[in-house]
Amino acid sequence: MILRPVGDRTGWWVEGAVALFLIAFPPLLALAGVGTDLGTRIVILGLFGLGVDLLFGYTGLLSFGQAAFYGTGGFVAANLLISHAVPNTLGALAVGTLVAAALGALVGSLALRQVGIYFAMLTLAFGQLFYFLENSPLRAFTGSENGLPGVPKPALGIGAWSIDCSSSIGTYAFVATLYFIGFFIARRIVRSPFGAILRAIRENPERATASGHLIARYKLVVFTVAAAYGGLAGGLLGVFQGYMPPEAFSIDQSGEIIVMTVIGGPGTLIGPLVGAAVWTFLRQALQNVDAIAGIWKLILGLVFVLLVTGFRNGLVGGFVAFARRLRPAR
Amino acid sequence: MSAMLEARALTKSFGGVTAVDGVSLTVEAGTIVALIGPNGAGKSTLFKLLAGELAPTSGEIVFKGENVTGYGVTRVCQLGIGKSHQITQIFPSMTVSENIMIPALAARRGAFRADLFGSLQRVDGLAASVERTLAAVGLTDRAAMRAGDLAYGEKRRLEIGLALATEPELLLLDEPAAGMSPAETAETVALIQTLRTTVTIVIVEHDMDVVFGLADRIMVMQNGATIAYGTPAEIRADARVREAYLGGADDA
Amino acid sequence: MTIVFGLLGFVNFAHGGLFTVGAYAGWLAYTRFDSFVLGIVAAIVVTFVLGIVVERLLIRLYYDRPPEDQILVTFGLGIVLVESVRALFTGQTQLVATPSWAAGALQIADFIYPQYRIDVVGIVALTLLAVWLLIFKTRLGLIVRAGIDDALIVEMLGIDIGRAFMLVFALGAAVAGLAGFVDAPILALNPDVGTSVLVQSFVVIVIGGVGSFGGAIVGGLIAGEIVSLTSVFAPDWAQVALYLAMAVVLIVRPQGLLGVVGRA
Repeated sequence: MILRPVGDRTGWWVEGAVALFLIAFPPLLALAGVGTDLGTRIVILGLFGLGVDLLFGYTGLLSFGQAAFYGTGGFVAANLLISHAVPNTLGALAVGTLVAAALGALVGSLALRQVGIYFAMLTLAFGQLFYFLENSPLRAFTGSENGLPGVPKPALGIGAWSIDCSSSIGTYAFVATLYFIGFFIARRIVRSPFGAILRAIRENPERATASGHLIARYKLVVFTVAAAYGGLAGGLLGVFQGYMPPEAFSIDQSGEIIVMTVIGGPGTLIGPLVGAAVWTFLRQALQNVDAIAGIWKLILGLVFVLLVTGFRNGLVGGFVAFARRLRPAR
Repeated sequence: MSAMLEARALTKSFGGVTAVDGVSLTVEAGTIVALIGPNGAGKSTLFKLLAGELAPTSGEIVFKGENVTGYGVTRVCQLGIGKSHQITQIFPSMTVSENIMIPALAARRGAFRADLFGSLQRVDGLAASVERTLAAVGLTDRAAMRAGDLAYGEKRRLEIGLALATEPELLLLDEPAAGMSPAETAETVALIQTLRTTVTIVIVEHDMDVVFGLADRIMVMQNGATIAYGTPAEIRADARVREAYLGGADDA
Repeated sequence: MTIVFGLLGFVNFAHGGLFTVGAYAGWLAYTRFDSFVLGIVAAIVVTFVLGIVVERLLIRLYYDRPPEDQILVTFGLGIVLVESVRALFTGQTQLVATPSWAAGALQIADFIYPQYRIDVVGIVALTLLAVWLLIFKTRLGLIVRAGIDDALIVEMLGIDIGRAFMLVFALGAAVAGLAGFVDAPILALNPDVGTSVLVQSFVVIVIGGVGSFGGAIVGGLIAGEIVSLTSVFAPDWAQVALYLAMAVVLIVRPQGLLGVVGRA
């Protein structure tokens, strides 16, 4: 008997498709009259969303505080780079990611003591905790309302050869490569035994527990992993913008990434990327239409509510369901 | 010879209500013990205590010589006690084989393993375990079907399968034939008969034909306490049992 | 004010938005008719009606869905409400004058309190009393409490639980709206006021206790004290201290100080 990964009948072609898309993205954007930077922004959010999808889409844990890890990873990496404590971009990003992951383990161990709405409330409150922490007592490290400017552009050096990523397309390539690696890893996690148990936890936690699994530990591990993804994405944000904004910690940021993941489709891994694209494009497009410039968020909010109500699996999920109906039953 | 399972003076109180009152029970390996009694007798609560879902207010549970009182469901399950529930609890959006895989993973890999990059193919004996369990409960041809789409009887079989896949030595079956037609009930009985060679079974049932046909020992409960425990013949002849069930109006 | 959120035994993410809507509705009435009382009435009525509409059209669909979905929809709703207000009234902050009958300050021992804040405490107390009466002394309240415990049995008893839930939701909305308006002179008025209040109310519930009426009150008092005291000694850490307290409660006693275990 061939044991397929739980709930997943796709093969390696998904990774291939994503890789192709990432390569084709900048030219597509150029065709649409949009700069590559927008694409970089979308991919960074997509990376952040990979963690959120693992947490929510696969394990069913809805956290409204992921911005805490996004911000932490970002500011740690930014500080290291600016102060030249770790001049190597990848090194600084790695440290930022690890710090975010450690924080994730800490927060997770506390927040996961509750479930459902109380868990959500807790993550919300922890997110706020870090926001205020960052705003006041740790002002020296985070520049408070002004954020942290002067983050150097990526300078990748491995021994003798170095790659200069200061151009728009160079930065995009850097970010997209890291995204792809993150995507690849997420896919492996989802298709592993660990991933199968995550799905079981989402579906029926009592049964999963009664089957002999210590679900608390699985939850903690996936929470930590999600924090790591957030931390890496945050670090990339700082490097990309040359500036680390305090809003990275904000509750709005936590909310936005959830909205993007849900709109794109939870439990699909590419959902967050799609959702980020939709969010970003709609924001751009709507803001250019004078009549409704001020209410882009309202429209997106309505779309969100509609999707949650009717198309619970988001855009990607809906598309997959539609495609399946076209295909004759196997 | 020491028993596989021993419950000693188990008591469980909820506030002012004593659901289980000083119940003692011995289950020998390789036997089938049936637990019967009128509604509200405390059978379900006793089962929950045995499965680790509830901790007793007082008393002990000894499984294979180890005192497992107060161990949670997960630990109890890993030690070898599996339970099939009265209300079917499956993973509805996953396929039947995926459902079976979940407890099988726990049996094969232990309570926790951070194998985020592992592969299902490489979990030792997983495929064989899943196949075996599917065959045991007769769901092999339903393996790829979405669990939520199964017929009621098939879902009950899956429920038993989920308990079986944990590779238990002691299987607790909570009303496995609940809501079944006579044909389905007969199938379930046949299934249990095939299982008796590999696991020790404790079963709660209301259907007396099932009980008397299967059990080696029967324990009768009423109001939280044991009123009788013995072979089917002994129980049939017991006056107290007849009174509890039939209120004295008996002409058997 | 956050106490009031806790009392209903549940809170949802849309309350922040309802808070804001109530604030603006009341403000409109207040400025147009120059009557604070009318402002209060407007805030309550508008949000109550809104609550009924929302429950009928949207929330009702979610009773059988997992809690995460319910959270998502109320969260989305909150966004829609806030953004609607922003669209209608612009994002600028407005200052709302305290009503003339509450102007000035009172001196109590060494502390000088603005008169209005004391009045707010009074209003809160009245609201608390009203809601408490409703939940514990009326038939409706009994139905709701029973319904939260076991909805199926209540239905089988022939009671229309749907209507009861709808009224409770609307009540919660009205309370949030009232809070929004009453707080307006203190907090100033802009579309984002609701969010921070929302989060703080969550903290109150966690500290005070899950599903406990008294707990919400205790939680609110404690939370208020923490913020006040730290503001005096170490202002940087005021907000942080609040969330730290919440974390501590979680470690030591996850169900909150007066909470009931398993009520989640």
